[in-house]
Amino acid sequence: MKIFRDPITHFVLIGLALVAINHFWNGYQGEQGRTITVSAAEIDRLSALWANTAGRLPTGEDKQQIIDQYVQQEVLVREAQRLGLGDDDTIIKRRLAQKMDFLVSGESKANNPSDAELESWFDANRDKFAAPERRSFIHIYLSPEKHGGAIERVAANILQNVQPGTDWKGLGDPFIQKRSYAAIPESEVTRLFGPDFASAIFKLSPGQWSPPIGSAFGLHLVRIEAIDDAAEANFEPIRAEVAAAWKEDQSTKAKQAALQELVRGYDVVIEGVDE
Amino acid sequence: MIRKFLTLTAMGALMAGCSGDTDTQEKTGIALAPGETLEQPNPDRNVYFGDLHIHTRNSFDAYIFNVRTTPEDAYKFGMGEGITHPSGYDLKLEGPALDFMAVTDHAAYLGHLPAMDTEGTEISKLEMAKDMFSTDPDKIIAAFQLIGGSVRDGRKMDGVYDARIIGDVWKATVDAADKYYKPGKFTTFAAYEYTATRVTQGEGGGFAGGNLHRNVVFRDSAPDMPFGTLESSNPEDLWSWMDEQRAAGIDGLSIPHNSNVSDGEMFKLETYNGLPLTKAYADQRMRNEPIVEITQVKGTSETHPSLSPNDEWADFGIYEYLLSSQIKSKTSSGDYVRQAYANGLVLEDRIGSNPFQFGLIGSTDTHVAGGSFDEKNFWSKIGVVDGTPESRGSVPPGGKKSWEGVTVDPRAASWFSRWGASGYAAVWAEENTREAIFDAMRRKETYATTGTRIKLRFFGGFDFDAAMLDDPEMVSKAYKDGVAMGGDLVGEDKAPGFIVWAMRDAMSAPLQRVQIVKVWTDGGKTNEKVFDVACSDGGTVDPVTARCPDNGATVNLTDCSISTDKGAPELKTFWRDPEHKAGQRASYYVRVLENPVCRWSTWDAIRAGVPPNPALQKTIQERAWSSPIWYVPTKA
Repeated sequence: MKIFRDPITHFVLIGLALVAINHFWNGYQGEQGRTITVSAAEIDRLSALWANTAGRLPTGEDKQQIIDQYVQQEVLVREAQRLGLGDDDTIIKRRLAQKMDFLVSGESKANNPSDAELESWFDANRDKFAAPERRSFIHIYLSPEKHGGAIERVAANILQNVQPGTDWKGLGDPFIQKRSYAAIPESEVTRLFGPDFASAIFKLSPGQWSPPIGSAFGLHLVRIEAIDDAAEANFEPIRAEVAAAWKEDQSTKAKQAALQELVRGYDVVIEGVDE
Repeated sequence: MIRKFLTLTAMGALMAGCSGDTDTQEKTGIALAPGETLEQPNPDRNVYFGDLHIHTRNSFDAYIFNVRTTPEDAYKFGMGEGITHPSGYDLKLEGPALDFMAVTDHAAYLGHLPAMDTEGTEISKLEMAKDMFSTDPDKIIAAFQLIGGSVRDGRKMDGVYDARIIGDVWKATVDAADKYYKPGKFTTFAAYEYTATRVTQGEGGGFAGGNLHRNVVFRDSAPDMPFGTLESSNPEDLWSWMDEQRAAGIDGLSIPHNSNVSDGEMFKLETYNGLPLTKAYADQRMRNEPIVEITQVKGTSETHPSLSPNDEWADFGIYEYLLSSQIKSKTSSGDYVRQAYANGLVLEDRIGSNPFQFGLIGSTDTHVAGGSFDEKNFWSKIGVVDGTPESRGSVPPGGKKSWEGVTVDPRAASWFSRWGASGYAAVWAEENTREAIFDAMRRKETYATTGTRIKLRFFGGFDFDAAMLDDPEMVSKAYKDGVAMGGDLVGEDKAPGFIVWAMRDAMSAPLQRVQIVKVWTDGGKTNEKVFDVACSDGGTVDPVTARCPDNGATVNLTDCSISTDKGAPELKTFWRDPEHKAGQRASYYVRVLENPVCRWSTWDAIRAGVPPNPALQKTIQERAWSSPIWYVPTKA
């Protein structure tokens, strides 16, 4: 408790975190053998951590991934330990740097794909670069605060009277956001207006005013002005982006392969999972 | 997949108490997607949401919290990509991309810890560096205390402080901002944090000091070096430096934050050195500090229940402990925004200028390169230290399923569990560019939210009336005949009229009520009053109490669902001050309240299948605060 009484910095918290880490490290050092036990309690702890991020409990498949990740991590630590690296942090540091170096060298070997190589990889992964459908639309807003129970009637009335060439901006109620939106994808419409409105306007045909559509804000008459179809990407304009993604993909593969190789040297026992 | 691997590496490095450098510098150009268009400037202005308070691995404290993400990662996060939390999970924005951002690493010892942890550098050979990244907790704490103490005292440590490291890392920070700036679409600013602390309570070199921290944000061009607390801990010296920079064509703003834990120092009624405030002081302060960060993870600084006993919503986001201590900040004066507004009016009468005529923004102060805005997905801010529900006191320790007989870690009890999922900086600007957004901040056409994207307009004018509300040209007329939030209404004896227009965030709760907070002076005495001005669900304001009826909105604490039939999608009203008195200086700001939702700690508990911590509020009301409009009587 001395550290709490000590008038120390905000930043010393970390010291405490590192104490905890050190504690775990010592725990690992105490273990021997080539059996990795994934306890039910550990799975619960990792699942809770996972759920905290994902906002739902993990399914069986998710759990399997969580466990795989844990095992890989454990293997790396054991490998370091087996080599006696835990005795001196400088050595661990060097060893980790070497490992990383090995993996990074896998990456650098793949630094310059030929044009043909890159293009054929692009063809196989075309969907990753596709642009989602985007829609441009204008809308007339009706406020439930203003019209109350009459809102449907008011909306129907406006719909009957809005003709091509009418000044649509003078109809309905003022809207605090925009009255027209250019080329936005459904995900963004969802964030701006809510999911029901977004899915409804992505089903409309262009060029005519829609019947009233509900949103988080009230009712809207919507006219789709343009649809940019989900587009397959063309290679040339985004060559640099493709090359970067290719590089990332290659190094991921190299690193995964290296890890798999290490994991093969262990028997893995997982407790508390039926599958 | 690469992320997964980097996580492993980071974990491995953590175990060993050292790290590999995972900083990558790949050049990914930002191109317009098919069909994407740059928008035309809007004379009626658009609202943009951003975060101007973000730390990465280059901050000395973040690095020790095991943060390894870079300024580039921070911008990627802002654009909607996932990045990795030091505790191993992925962070991603719940909503759409941010519109603007600034990475604000501590200028003091900028980049020093990563350099100490990089083999082969000169600084890594220091005994301190070896201790800092050793496995001996006593050595780590001692080494880190030296750095922390040096920052607190504003004294450079000879042999450790290296201006070349700061210069190099600052240049990389500026370059990252330039690289990710996409005019019309995504705005980034070169920025840093000025981390001054005033040792106040706790004699004998204690850390329990007043937080005088500021973020310094540059409009476009940036200086060669930041001016940090190791240059001077006196913010007035910072302003003088900024004045010099401005004269040389480098315009910047300094944005104070966490006045709530300044121990009375942030808005105190004398200079840093204890001299009376003067007009020159006030003018210089306003030239450099036109806006203040009122809310962030480490609490909200609007007001305190002891200062505003008649404000039923004054207990929001209260966090009172001086940094890393169990000593409470002096709340009676100098810590809270509303009180500073009132004192500013008195000062204006006395010295001819108001040093506290600032506008408002929110931001996060995240130390993991990605802001935590959402109650239902909160990761707090200091990396491995508060990265799990248990560590921040929302779930009982050791897998226990109840709070009975549980002793919560004192740091979680008094610090982390009190923090909040907040907030956003919102600005009204013609377009999403550095110039337009910076200029909006300078004219204070800004507001703060607690992590919700409420849209809020606020205009004042002597000749406004209720008929304007339905006018399709309302906004352009309001700009023409009045002033927007942040402006001065200069006039004689006429009660000012206000138009307030708020719209809910489609993905957060509906609106419950809109309020105007009036602060005024009366013969040198300060006063405040909260007026409800628009009620949801058909309610009307009681003219005696100035309150809306309760709209009956509830939260289901078993699953955090909220009433679906309560609250308003938008609230819009005209309000003329019924208590206006000729010659009384006043300022008016808007507070918008949503229906209640679960607090982050309740979400954490529900996910873990445990009851919420009984020591914490179970629900909160998300909210927005506008910059004020000041009524300035013309003297006879």
